[in-house]
Amino acid sequence: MEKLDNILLNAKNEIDNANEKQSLNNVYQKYLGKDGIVTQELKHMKELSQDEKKTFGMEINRIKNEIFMLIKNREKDFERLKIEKQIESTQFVDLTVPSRERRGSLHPITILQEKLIDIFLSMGFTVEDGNEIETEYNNFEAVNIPKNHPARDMQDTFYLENGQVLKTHTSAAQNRIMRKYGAPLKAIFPGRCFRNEELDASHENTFFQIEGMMIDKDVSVANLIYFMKEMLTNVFGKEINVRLRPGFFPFVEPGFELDISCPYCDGKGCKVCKHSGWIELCPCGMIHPNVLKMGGIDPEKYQGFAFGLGFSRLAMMNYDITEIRLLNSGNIKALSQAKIK
Amino acid sequence: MKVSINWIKDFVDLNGINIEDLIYKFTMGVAEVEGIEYKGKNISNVVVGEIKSVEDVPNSKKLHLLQVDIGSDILQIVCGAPNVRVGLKTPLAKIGARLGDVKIGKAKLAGVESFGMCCGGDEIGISDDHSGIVELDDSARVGQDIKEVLDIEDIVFEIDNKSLTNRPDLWGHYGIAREIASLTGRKLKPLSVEDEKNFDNKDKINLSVKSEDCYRYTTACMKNITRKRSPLNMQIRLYYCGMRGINFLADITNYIMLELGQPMHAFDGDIVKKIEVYNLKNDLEFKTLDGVKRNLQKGNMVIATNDTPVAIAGIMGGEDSEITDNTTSVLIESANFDSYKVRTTAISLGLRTEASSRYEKSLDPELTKIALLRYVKLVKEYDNGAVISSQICDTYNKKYPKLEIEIKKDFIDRYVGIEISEERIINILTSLEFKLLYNKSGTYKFEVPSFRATKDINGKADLVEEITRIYGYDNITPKSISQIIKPVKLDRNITLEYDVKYSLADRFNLNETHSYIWYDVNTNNTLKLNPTSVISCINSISKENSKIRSTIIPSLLKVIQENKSYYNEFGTFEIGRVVKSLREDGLVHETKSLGVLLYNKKLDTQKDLLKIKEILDYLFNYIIKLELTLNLEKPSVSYYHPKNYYKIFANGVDVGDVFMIHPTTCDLVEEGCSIVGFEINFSMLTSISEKETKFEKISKLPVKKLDFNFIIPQNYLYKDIIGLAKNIKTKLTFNVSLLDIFDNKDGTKSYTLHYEVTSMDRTLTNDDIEKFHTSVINKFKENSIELKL
Repeated sequence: MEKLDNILLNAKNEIDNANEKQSLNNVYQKYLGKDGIVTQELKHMKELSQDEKKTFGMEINRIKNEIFMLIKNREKDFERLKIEKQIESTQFVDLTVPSRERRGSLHPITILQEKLIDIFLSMGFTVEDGNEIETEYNNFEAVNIPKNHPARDMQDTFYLENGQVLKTHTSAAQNRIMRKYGAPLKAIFPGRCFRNEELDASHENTFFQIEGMMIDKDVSVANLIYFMKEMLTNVFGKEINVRLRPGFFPFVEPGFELDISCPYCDGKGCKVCKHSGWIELCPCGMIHPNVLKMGGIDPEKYQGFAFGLGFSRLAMMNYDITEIRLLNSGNIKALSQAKIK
Repeated sequence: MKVSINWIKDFVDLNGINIEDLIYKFTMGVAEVEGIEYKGKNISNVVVGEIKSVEDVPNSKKLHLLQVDIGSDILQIVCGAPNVRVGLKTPLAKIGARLGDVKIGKAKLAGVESFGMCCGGDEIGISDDHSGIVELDDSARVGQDIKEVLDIEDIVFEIDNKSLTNRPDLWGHYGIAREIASLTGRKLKPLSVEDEKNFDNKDKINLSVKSEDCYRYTTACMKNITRKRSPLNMQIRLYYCGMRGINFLADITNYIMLELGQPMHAFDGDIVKKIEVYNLKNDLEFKTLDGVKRNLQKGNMVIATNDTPVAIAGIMGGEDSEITDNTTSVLIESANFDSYKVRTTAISLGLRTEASSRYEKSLDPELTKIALLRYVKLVKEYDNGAVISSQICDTYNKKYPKLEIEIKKDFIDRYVGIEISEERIINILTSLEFKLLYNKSGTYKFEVPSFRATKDINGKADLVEEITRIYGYDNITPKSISQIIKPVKLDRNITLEYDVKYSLADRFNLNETHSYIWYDVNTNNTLKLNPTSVISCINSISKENSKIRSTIIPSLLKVIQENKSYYNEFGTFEIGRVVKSLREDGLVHETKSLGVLLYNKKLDTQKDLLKIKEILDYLFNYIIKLELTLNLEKPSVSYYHPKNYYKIFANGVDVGDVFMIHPTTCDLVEEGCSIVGFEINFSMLTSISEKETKFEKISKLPVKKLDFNFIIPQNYLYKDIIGLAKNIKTKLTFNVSLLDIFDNKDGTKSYTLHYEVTSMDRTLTNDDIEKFHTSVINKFKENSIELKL
């Protein structure tokens, strides 16, 4: 029995001293192999008495299993050490270094316009693309601004030599779109507009609007409020409240000024909203019966709402731009800042 | 327009109503209030004082030493006003008094102690007059708080004039009061006016209206007027509302204008005894009562007497006939003129007045007589001796038709999207003086009041507005629609624009900019650009910005020029509108143009142009999906380089050009730089139909590979060579590609062409290969291109 204990002791030593797979393998062969020491001992079994056989058998099995386990564990050690070494030698890489500096940029108006288009598409609106140069008829008469109306004064409108005008509002496309689609109708039409105004921080002679129209048999003021609220909540990415105030625009009746709860202070009052909690955002209203009529839609059967969102202004709000003139400045350093915040 | 709450209280009882809440309601239901001023809040401890004695102050030419009785005390006051006199009652600020930001303390003037201050109008905020101290009515009780004597305390709110453009009835306090009565559910008090009977049996005034633009002219005369200054409280109201006191008779015209919105004019009755209204037949110089000589033009409407103009109709009176301190009789004008006529005249004269801006809004002609009766009433009220000296003469040439509107409750509910009760509907409209003519089970007919019928109210939709705004827009619950939603596809015009923009920015590092639709001629001149323009703007911001662009490239060159100092290499693009031609009917043919420019501080023609080509190839292959062909040509534009200029064809259609900017222009931007780019008629792209793509059969039989090395003379383009290489007559199937181009020293190029030849139905024989080989060589020989030996 003592002999067996010695075998185990020796094996243990040799296993601990094995530094690589091959020498461990040699240890295995030496003890547990075909001609190994333990295997040899087993052969002595038959020389023993029945009782001794039993005790010896148990003992040698124990030794055999123990050596086997020791070798297996040592193998696992090797595996672990190998991986540890690999980890150690792997290079560390600083991923906070940018991969490829994005130098190209889209205009803030392009980015916002796409966002607006997506929102309206998801609400079932068709997207149309209007002209920048329009006839006087489309720009004025067709939206209920007759000759002699103050809005048609030369000082507000750029006229061309052939009598056409640089469109003063996206409403100039209303007539064409009503004639193209008829009723019912749901469409938005973004576009560039022009007004002969003195340039300053908040006034430009060239700016963007997005016009929307929805016409059906029972489209109501309540629907208008709903759509504007949903749309603006999406634009600002947070719950926006809207309120209507009376506003006069010849192409709508009733006409409204739409205010939104200030998205900067959530209506609590701040510098942007002049501490009122509200920001005046866009004119809107129920489409004037005359406008429907001129668009070939029977105002006795159909009604609808329209709005004209000044989205140069919206872009300024969205990107914290304080000078509207920046948008047409061609100043790439400034314009290319429109990135993910 | 400024509105005085004191004035409103003349017509509506506002007891128990919070004024701030009321003003908010007004903004939400009528028109936008821009600001609120609290008048007189910072005036305190000012009382009525009576001057008991006036002595000169030694060592001072101006100052007087006064003893002023304030009831409880007699105070020694040093005062510099010229109008001090014994017996005068005046506001006296006691020690400790507050006058705005000023606090009154004991003071020493020219060595004499003063125990308070006599106040001028500006000091207590009731006028901008600093010429003397305020002269109170004798009825003021000595020692009384000044706020009990004068209406110094008031709340004045200002309405955004723009939000009143369609409401001629809201240009006076009475109209505003009507809205407030409706908003608060209170009664509007009637206006107190002179009884028409009092004009009976008086003299006629000779009144002749010859202009169609005068809708109504109402006039009457008064005499024996002795009062020179209007009551202080009236002056305060005028001042708080943005005007100022002038004299008694003129102040009342202004007062009534602010009260009823009806402009009036008072002529000196000794000078103007009869009235003619006509449009001028000739140009004329005329001096208005502000002392300015103005050039009236033929066609301007004037008021005249004995063929001498005395006023520009609806705008301003003349100096010669204005009320002076000697005036004792007055001819009153209360008239209605065509809004467009007044507006255009005012604009052409550069003279927009309180009167003209009201006439522009299409005032109710019914007002003229009411205003006149009100005028007479007020004159008599404040000057007991004044008497009526004529009949009312009234020429009423244009009466608006009576307007009646029928509307159903169903319609209102459907339009608004909520239900408003019948009682509420009728109450609201009645409170705004719409008259209910009948109610047949939910169908109502209303008569529109004359002051709303000149242009504002036209039909059912207008009535809905009246009902809802008073009902309160806040009370309308947002509601989604019941309509069936159908899927919507985004138009390719729009998607293509976005796809191209994203590619240019994300893939090619270009920066998108926006520019104006007109050229900047100054930049064009500086850079020696002479682009075409087919149409100009006739009232542009300046002559240099009037030409509408036919190409977007000059706009982008301006961007390059303005940004070049920040970058050694960069690119910019825009998709914008241009006008290349006019249509047959004279209207513009507007198109979208895509322009791309690349700037390189250091010229590297090969690299720069190949980068442009890479962009084009990418756009046409992956985004636009049309076949791109370039044709080498001579540019028709002088600012393009003569050597590297190509026309761009998409599926064979000419859509634009690729170019280098001419060295002359480049050097003006930056010596030695290169600018290359392209411009594409973007509107055309979506109209060109895509070619069908089909799979070709692939032969399963072995492929024979053949390489040829040709010497290509200088004047050949790659596309010519590849064209030849593909144009081989054979029954075999083959593919050809270019393996390599080598530039020879003599200017020729060596092309290695790689052919893969096979047949669809049989294995190739040596003979087949031999024949094919010869065909290729012959094809090139026909064009004098030889194999490299």
